[in-house]
Amino acid sequence: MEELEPVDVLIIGAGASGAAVAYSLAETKMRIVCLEQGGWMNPLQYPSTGRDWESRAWGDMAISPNRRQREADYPVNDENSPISVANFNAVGGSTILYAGHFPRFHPSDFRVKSLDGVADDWPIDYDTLEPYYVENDRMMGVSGLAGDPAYPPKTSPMPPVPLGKSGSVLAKGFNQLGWHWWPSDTAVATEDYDGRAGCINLGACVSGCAQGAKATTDVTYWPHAVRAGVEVRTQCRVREVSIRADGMAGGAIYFDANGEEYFQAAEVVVMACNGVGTPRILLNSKSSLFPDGLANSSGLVGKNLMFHPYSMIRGIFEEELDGYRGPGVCIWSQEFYETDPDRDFVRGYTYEINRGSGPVTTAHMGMMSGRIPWGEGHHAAFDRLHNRITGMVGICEDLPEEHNTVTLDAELKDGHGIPAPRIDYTLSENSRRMLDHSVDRATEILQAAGAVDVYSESPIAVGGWHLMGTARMGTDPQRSVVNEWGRSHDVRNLFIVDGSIFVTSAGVNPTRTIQALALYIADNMKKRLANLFD
Amino acid sequence: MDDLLASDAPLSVEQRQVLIEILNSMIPQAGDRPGAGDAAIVDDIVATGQSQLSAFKVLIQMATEVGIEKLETMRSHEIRTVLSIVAQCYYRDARVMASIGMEARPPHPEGHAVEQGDWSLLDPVRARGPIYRET
Repeated sequence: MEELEPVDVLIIGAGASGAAVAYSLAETKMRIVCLEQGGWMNPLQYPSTGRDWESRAWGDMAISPNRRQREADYPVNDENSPISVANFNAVGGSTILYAGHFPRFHPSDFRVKSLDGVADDWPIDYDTLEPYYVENDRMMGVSGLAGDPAYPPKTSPMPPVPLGKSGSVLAKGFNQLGWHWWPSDTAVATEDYDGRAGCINLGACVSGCAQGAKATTDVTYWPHAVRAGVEVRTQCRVREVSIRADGMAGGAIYFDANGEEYFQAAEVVVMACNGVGTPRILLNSKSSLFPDGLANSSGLVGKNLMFHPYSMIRGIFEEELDGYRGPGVCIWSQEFYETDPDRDFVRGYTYEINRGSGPVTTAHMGMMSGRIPWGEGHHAAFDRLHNRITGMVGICEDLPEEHNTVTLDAELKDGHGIPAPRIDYTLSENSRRMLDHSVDRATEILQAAGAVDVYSESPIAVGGWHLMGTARMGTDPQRSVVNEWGRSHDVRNLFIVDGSIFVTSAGVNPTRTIQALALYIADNMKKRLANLFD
Repeated sequence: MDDLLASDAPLSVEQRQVLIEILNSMIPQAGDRPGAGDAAIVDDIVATGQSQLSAFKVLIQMATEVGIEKLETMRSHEIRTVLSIVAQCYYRDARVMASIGMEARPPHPEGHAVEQGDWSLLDPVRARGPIYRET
């Protein structure tokens, strides 16, 4: 194994959080290297550049690493979970495939114990993160409309994505019921922004944006960080983080594209591999000092895994809607976001309206469900669905439970022989009730909007997009893995900046908060450089 | 010996003929819309389904044994696999796309037009005032 020249900061993972922390730390002029198991994506090869754009979501651009099986991917054993893991491994990480729905947490999301008596409060609050949300919005390029009654005042650099036919129809449904809706904050540039071209409504956001309008970190943070001197080393898969005799992290052992093994020494190690990848590496980093995995004296590394259980509810309309045109992101509703004692569950959920779908997805759903028959009736049935489906997903807050875990699989390994993660996850009764509520209320919304038929899936079995909680933040070293500014309680030069450190999940997409946290942690590191390890 | 082929074609001539009949029974030709058994579409389906050829062969065998008309009611894994591939390939055919009102092109680089919509729909939402929970 070759030992490389030491660096000041070693970041593991080039996704949402790794990019943000690299950009922020670059101004220190320290020697910063980021190891990423994937490569740089070529936007000209994204599915929307071909007529087979929908099909590739079943193949090389599938959200499931087990289905996709690209060289950069590692397998995940999620057989013991009703929700399977969705991710992407490349520079940009899972932002490559996300929809770009970009909500913030709410002030109440940081205080669930105090307000509702469940889970734990965060050691930080909304006001602490607010300036980092603003900075992240500027770097990613957020589009939205000020004045959302579901949030404290905030602004966006660009105007919102269009309502379109689908958004207008559903807005009328919400209005008829007197329920909240608002144009979504999105990580989609609606105008040319920071060298990126504005959205042209390709409609294929979730398989990579060939236009560059969607804020994936390979086109937002990384160009700035690289220009500032950060080195991104691609196709480098980390096996473990090493520990020195003095109890400090020494660096990382990784495989390069040729399968050669290297040791990269570093003064500071930053984990940015998401809520499954980070515990996987930490648990695989066993030593005499940390026999149960690095930074795991609490025993909580890999525990408290939270997804967001998703419901999906769609309505079929007689009028033509947006269909395959336009970004999937559109409007949201937080009518049922906060706890209501009259309901049979605590906390709540967000509705994200998904504009529509392309012909392949429409035909697939129709043929599988029997709505489109074989034979003579096929074409007429297809025509009744084509461009006439819209609806929403309900993103339910998932509360932390220690029995929901990421561990190392005893048998399954990746292409380098590194143990794969194993997911053991059970849907809580609270989540089930919340999911049911979200399906029932969405059905009312769709019917009020004029839907002639409604169908749903709950939970979405393939919908494990959000991976959180497996190295939680807190002030008590026995009840958390990192402190209130992201530093490991056990290893004073080890930081975690991804969704692993979430204390609770809120009922919104996590990426904006993950990145705000990464900027906040980087800022704390910069402010404490003189005594970072005290 | 049933799978012994005289060339490197994934299906024998007989198997391909049965497959064409199955595909046309799923999506028949109508007006300007070709059937799914159209030669170009079948080629795309077979090429796309290379890695799931066993599903095609099981389906062809089932059709031979019970008759094509019975297949629709048999929701086996193999049938669902083939249906998925048929949906993917049929609706990306240029003639089919044109017949359902789409331009036969990829989304990029031309994109699509989406109307802004009526933002005054937000008036009642604004009028209600803040709904977030104070801490």
